[in-house]
Amino acid sequence: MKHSILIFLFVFIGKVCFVQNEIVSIDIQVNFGNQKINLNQWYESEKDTFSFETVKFFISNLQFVNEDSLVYSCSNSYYLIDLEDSNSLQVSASIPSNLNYSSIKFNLGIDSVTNTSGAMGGVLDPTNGMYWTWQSGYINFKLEGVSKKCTARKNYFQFHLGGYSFPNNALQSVELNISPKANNIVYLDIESIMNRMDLTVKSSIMSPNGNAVELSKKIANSFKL
Amino acid sequence: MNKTLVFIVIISCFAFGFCLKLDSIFPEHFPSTSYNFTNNPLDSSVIQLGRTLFYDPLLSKDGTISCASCHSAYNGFAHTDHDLSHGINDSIGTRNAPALFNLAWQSSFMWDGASNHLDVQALAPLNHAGEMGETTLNVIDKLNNSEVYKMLFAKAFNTNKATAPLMLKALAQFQLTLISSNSKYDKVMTSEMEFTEMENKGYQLFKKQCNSCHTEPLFSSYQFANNGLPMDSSLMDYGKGAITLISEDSMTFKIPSLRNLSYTYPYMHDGRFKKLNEVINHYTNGIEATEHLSEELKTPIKLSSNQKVELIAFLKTLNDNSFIFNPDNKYPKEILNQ
Repeated sequence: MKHSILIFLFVFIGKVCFVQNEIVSIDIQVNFGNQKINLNQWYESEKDTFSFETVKFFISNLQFVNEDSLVYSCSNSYYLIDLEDSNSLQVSASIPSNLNYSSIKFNLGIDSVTNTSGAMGGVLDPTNGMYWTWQSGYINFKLEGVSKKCTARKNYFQFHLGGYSFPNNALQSVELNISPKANNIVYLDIESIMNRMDLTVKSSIMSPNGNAVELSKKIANSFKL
Repeated sequence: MNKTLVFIVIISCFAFGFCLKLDSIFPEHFPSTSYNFTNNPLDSSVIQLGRTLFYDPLLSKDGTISCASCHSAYNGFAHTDHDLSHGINDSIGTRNAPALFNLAWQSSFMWDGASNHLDVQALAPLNHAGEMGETTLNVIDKLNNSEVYKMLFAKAFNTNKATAPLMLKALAQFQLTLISSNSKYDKVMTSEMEFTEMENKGYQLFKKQCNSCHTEPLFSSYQFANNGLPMDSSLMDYGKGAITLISEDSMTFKIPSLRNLSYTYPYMHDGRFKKLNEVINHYTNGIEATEHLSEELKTPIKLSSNQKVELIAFLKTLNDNSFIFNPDNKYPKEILNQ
């Protein structure tokens, strides 16, 4: 009798304390229009022709939202998406089983608290090519390549977007409607970003400033399902 | 029962020992620290690793420059005799190497505040072409190929693999132990000594004229201010303004501590003044009313020549010989001369 009460207690406590979790995975696909981008290949738009050398960015603070209310927030969720590394193109998180949600929300970049917390490892290691050295701070988004119309040296464009403090906070929030059962692929359309830029006027951003904030906004609204 | 008692005693000794250590290095008459020690708890093996890294020219591209090249213990970890800092290949920088001490009480670093945390500050000189000219990744490779560092990382972090965050945390730990709190001023504050009459007059002047920016007991508020220095047209240095792009920050620089000032000349962000009386004369006669001049300097500071002598007498009580000559802060020859 005593034993069965103990067993019952253990099971009960286990049920309460350890909610069962499941892994949710979201694939990130970087496109040029409807074509999947491969690095260092040419892509043509109406205005220009591009080849991309680097597409690398941070996704962080993954949250699940149901009808405008936050239902689950993944702690310490930082993902470094790098087109050069196919393993990095999937965002996986452990969330409570049977969680009801209608959309996901994430930051494009690294928030100010993390930016001011000192040296960190993993995807946040400053040797991952996404940290400035001459001033503190993560590069949220790196886009580098060549275009036929770009007027910079060797037709090279480079955008290193970051900045975590006023007035040049480049961090963006992205929210996408998503259903728990669907095959989750999030697309980032680089063509729609390039179409809204003029590489004969501006072909490089290398520090936190107003241009970085503006381009970050354009990138954030180029994510879709 | 006995075993449990022994266990408790041992555990409390460890706990007490750790607290004692932190207490003994953080002076009672200082405010609370800004550095978050929970993410990087001080440990003697980590400090030793950090000290070795600090003094090792391996960290530079051609093996000629260490952190200590521009931050020498005998100069309060500043660089006496050089107005602008030096780097590899005899390159000359654009700023005077700042003194390093009491860093746990500071939350932004460099003259322009470009570094937001002590842990990441070292990335700047390491990667700067005109300072150490390296890449962080290459430094980590060099450390991982060194038997000495394999041993030191194993001892400090229980790993045989050096990584950037571990290297940076170790460098930060050594620098956090650079605490200057034993000057004559400190001894007066803790009632072990007394000021002379002249020093005391200087102290009263200091409290009236200087303390709002060079605030006791650290002798800096560690804020940024424009102190009315005319622009050096060969440098065109806008200080914090060039980082934040906010016009109010234009030509503002981090307010340096006045501790150890006899050891840390030349003065100002570009080392333009060699002597202390040139600095005092700047504040009495040299202020240029630039657009964002610090409020504190808008009313001119007036000092008679006697008062200048008194003020300097007080300022010299901020020299801390026991810090300058502390053997714990010196070149670790027992490791690096192997």
